[in-house]
Amino acid sequence: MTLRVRGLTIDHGAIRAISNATFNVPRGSITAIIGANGAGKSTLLRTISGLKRATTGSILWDETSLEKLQTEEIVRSGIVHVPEGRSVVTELTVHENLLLGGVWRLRKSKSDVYAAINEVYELFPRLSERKRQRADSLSGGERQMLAIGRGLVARPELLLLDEPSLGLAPLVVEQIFHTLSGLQAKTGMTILLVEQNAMSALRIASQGIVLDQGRVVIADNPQAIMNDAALRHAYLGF
Amino acid sequence: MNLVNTLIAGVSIGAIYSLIAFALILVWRSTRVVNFAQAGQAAFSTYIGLSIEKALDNFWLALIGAVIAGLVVGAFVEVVIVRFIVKRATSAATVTVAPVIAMLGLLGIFQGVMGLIWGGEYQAYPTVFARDGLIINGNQIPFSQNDLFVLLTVVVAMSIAALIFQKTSLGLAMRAAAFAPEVTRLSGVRVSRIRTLGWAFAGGVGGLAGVLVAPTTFIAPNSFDLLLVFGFTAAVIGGLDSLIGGVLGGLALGIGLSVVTGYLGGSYTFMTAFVLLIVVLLIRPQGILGARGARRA
Amino acid sequence: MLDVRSSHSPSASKRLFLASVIGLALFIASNFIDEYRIFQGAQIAAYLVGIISIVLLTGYSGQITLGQGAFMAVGSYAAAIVVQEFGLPIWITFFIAVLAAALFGAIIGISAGRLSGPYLAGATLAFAVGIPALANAIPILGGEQGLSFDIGYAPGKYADTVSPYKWLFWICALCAVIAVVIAVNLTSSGLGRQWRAVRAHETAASLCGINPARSKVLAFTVSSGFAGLAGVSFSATVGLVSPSGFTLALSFLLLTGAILGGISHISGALGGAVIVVIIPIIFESWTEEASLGVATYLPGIIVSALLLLSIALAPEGPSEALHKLRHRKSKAH
Repeated sequence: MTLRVRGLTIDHGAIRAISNATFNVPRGSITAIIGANGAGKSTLLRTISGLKRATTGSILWDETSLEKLQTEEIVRSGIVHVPEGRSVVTELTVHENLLLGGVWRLRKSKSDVYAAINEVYELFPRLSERKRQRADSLSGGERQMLAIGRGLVARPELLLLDEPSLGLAPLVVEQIFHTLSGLQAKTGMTILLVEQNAMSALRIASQGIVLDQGRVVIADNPQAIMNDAALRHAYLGF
Repeated sequence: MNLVNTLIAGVSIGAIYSLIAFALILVWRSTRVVNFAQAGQAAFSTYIGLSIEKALDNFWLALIGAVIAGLVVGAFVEVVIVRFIVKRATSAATVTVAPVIAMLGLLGIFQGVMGLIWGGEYQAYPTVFARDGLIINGNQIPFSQNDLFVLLTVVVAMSIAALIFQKTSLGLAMRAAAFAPEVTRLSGVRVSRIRTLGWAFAGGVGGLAGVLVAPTTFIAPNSFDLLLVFGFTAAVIGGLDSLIGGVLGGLALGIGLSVVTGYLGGSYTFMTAFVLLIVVLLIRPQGILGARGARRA
Repeated sequence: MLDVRSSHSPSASKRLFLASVIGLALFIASNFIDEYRIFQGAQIAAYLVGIISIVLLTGYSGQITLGQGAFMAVGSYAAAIVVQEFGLPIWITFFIAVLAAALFGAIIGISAGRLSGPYLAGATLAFAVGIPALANAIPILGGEQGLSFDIGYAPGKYADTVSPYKWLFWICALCAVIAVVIAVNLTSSGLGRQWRAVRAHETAASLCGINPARSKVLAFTVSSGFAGLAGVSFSATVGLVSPSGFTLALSFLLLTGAILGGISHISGALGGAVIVVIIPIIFESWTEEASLGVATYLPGIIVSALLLLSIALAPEGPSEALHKLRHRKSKAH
């Protein structure tokens, strides 16, 4: 399954957040969207997952158009969005948060959901230790792991990650990116990653998309982006 | 009138307040709307129960019928009215005001319709249980067989509800949808359906409360308005965000009002509830069990 | 949404002139209209002031109130007691009513000002239920029977020529005109803009140097003053001040009138008042043939349904909706 975005334009009221964006996210790849704050990266993800409606343009997930679908349906077709800000449900326990990720398919594939949850516990042992604890007792890094874990329980074909490293210690960031890269290698899952931490993201990605004030500046492999001195200077800071 | 008697008398009416508070909090948690029309919905369901009772002469069928009517009406109101209004609310200021006013309008419609169909006079609602105080050790306490039935039913209903919420996947989805609707949508849960279910559930609970209280209060188109005010007070006392708090609040209110009525006379009941509400809103707006910062809509 | 339309409204002196003209017109007209209509006019005037109080509090300051009836009661009882104990002339009585209600409003505003949404709704609801109950319990307020409130006849030599209904209408209408003038002046002034600013975004407003808490309390105080005036006018039409005159239904009726007329602007208040008074009467004549049940309940159903439709289709009030419609049309070009 490939994600194809064509001529996507998204407005926030009178402000144009994304102008005429066109790019592909090939299956089994890790694509990193980088750009300055306010470049429209989060808006892009939110529109793909259906939380926001685009003004014009199309989003194709293989043959299916996503622009008019409800978020719940988009999730059920295999696209899982982990929003920014450590989006866990603080009033629920760690285990309940993970279960939430699979609750929609609990009736049909109960054993698989529980298997997926166990896989998340293997991936993030810290979560397993805190299984029965309420999510608000977790640290920032643990919450991010929980949020990502919840997304993984749904066994997504495409995982949308919004700034997973935001506000986390460098060591934790390392660990998370390492895990993501390993996960992708093992399952062949497609990952679309939005990051301000451009270097870490480009290091694990096979495609980099640079956004500047809502426009796609370049969509190419990370090496090409880093070789371009002007781009490197503007977006990677060196 | 000794203290124990007043306490006992307060428990059974407190149980009813708990039910109403439960219904209000359920809807508040899932949609951020206080359903002031709950009184009308409950009364409507109870009237349907009454009609069933008159037609089939069976108390239990009437009870079940009322609860089912409550479920259906609750779902109907959410799907047809609430969704539309919440979607159309444009500014932050309107989002909180519009649903409240809409519910009041709905209440008026309910009451008018009930008056049209069933008439405005008070009607008696029958019960199969004895209404005289039970006799324990030769003393009669202000707690009848019917009161016991009411109390037990409320306990059973709350237990079922608690079980559903805490132990089932549906309950998990409902809790998540109330706490974090966006995250829950992103988890593939059809949050709008969950909300409808929440309203249906609340409607059913309201219908149950109506049928339980009707034998003692008689029923007329606006006989439950007061119940709503007390139920709301109970919900605020316990904490608008906490279902358990609402239940406790209901009991506390029932007992408190009973004590006041016992020692000061019935004309002070209103005022006591009112004073209690104002005091709680001023000192601890989040209620006994509510989380801090929850007082703003 | 901050409204900059005030730059188009006439200045204070122009408004006063307009008000005087209207007042004079009403005065002259009252000599040619039959007594029943005049009485209705007095009722409309009373409701008008009540609805204005809601427009100020909910429309401008954004604080929902389900209990204006309670403030009306405070005003009425204050007036009735003053008349009973001291026998002061009407104008002073009305003034005291306004003051008493405003004072109460300030107290409630201070305590409830930290609340919003359903909590505020619930508090005002409890107030609406509690005050009449309180009145019932305190003996000096006349209990269940209440106190009589009679504004009597026109003074001096006019007592014979001017009917009591006309006198009533003049007083109520005069109060209404004064209320409208004050309200319009308030809302186009800095205070009105302040209320709107706090309503739209409290934090932003406080960053502009406005004290949101004080602004809200002021709104409650002013609004209650208006409600007190409405209460006195209302009681004058009834001739009695009793707990049963200030039911929850009254508060809801006022809120309905405010919403139907358009809660965001004073201009809607008159429409709302007319609707609230006229609709039951219209229905009385239509349903003369129909059964008693239909006659009793249909008006309530229609008004409630109107309220529901109105808030569903135009949450900010019909005038706002029209404004948006015009906006959309011009954008399309």
